[in-house]
Amino acid sequence: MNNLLKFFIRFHVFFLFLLLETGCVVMLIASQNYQQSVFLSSANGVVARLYSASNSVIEFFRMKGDNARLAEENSHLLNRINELENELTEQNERLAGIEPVFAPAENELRYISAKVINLTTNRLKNYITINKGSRDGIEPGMGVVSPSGAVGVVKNVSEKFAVIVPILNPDFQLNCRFKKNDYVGPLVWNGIDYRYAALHDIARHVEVQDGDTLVTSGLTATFPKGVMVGTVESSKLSESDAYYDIKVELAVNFRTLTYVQVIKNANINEQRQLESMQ
Amino acid sequence: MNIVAKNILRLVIVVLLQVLVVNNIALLSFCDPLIYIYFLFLLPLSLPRWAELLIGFSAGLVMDIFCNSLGLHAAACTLFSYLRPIVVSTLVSDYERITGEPGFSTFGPAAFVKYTVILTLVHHCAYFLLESFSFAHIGWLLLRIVTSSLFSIVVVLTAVLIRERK
Repeated sequence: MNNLLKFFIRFHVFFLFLLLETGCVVMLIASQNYQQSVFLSSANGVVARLYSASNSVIEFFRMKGDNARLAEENSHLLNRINELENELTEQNERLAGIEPVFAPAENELRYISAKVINLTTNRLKNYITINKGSRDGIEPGMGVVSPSGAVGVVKNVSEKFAVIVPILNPDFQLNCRFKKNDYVGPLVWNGIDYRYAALHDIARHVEVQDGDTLVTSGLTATFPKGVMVGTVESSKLSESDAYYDIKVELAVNFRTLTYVQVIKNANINEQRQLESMQ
Repeated sequence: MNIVAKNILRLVIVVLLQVLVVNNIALLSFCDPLIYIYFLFLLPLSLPRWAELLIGFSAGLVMDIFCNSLGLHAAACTLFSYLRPIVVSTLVSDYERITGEPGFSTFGPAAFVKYTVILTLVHHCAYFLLESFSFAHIGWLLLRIVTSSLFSIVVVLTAVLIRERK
């Protein structure tokens, strides 16, 4: 016993080193599979407030471009409202006197607008911090989109901030569907270029052409069906492969992402409850 | 200034520089320099080794909180802090007599450059290997390690040079 104690004291530095490294690896592995504690992420109040302050400086320089983009988006949405209103009056006239029709339950969505206060694009696992949190109704697991397409899913939420796992993180797989023929496959980022990702599980009998549009599948409750994801940049199929090697150009430019919308699905709890009863 | 206060201030400055400035300059999509290790390079040589390990671990943990990469920076920094005294004792023969902080004047220019290059490479290799956790894109990984290390080494050496000129 005495000798053992002497042994530990003699090599205490090495044992401390081993202990700390083991701790690091355990944290590293645990944070991949489980939601990490909010305190130890950038949703932590102090860190998020710091990012938010620095972002307001960066924002000042970006303002001009952002304003132009927002104005463009605004006019696009106004046109869309106009179109839909016309369609609605037309439909109402036709349906006068008939029982009201409900909107599809999975489409009862609310969008919560949030500002990106921190993001990376050159890590292997990138994250985005936004300035809305649980007090704004954000919960882990919600989908996040931007005007140009799908962004990611909420991982950690504190009172005023939230951390998003974007497409640019191999931990997150997005189910995609070809707009033209409805074939579905998972989209995964390869960790190399923030503009491209890879689409898997598309069998060789499917016809794939460069420029084909990919949208969200709607098979998960996170995203509604038909949110833009990207277009096929190139596809490869060698003689012996059962599946295509598809390179997808992402619709969202993550480098310049400034505003995002978090999707709140009004019927998600009802759906989950029903599913868990099986 | 008191040496403890000086080092704490230095840690705060390098972490802020890293997360607010360097992380936002994406020169190339594969270059991800980690300049905050400047702080670990300049820790006093008189630190007991257990204290140095704990300081390295904590500095890494602070970076991890900022970067949402729990354990990644901490692992690389702990390895750095474990190896630093060993590297110093092999490069500098009379290191026990050095009273000031590591630098060109205390180590000698050649030894200090070697010290910076070796430890930066150790830290960056550990960081990027743990980050990818595989050798799948080995060429890509090497490119990342080499370009990022080069950038970090230049920044650390320049910063020390400017500090000593003053």
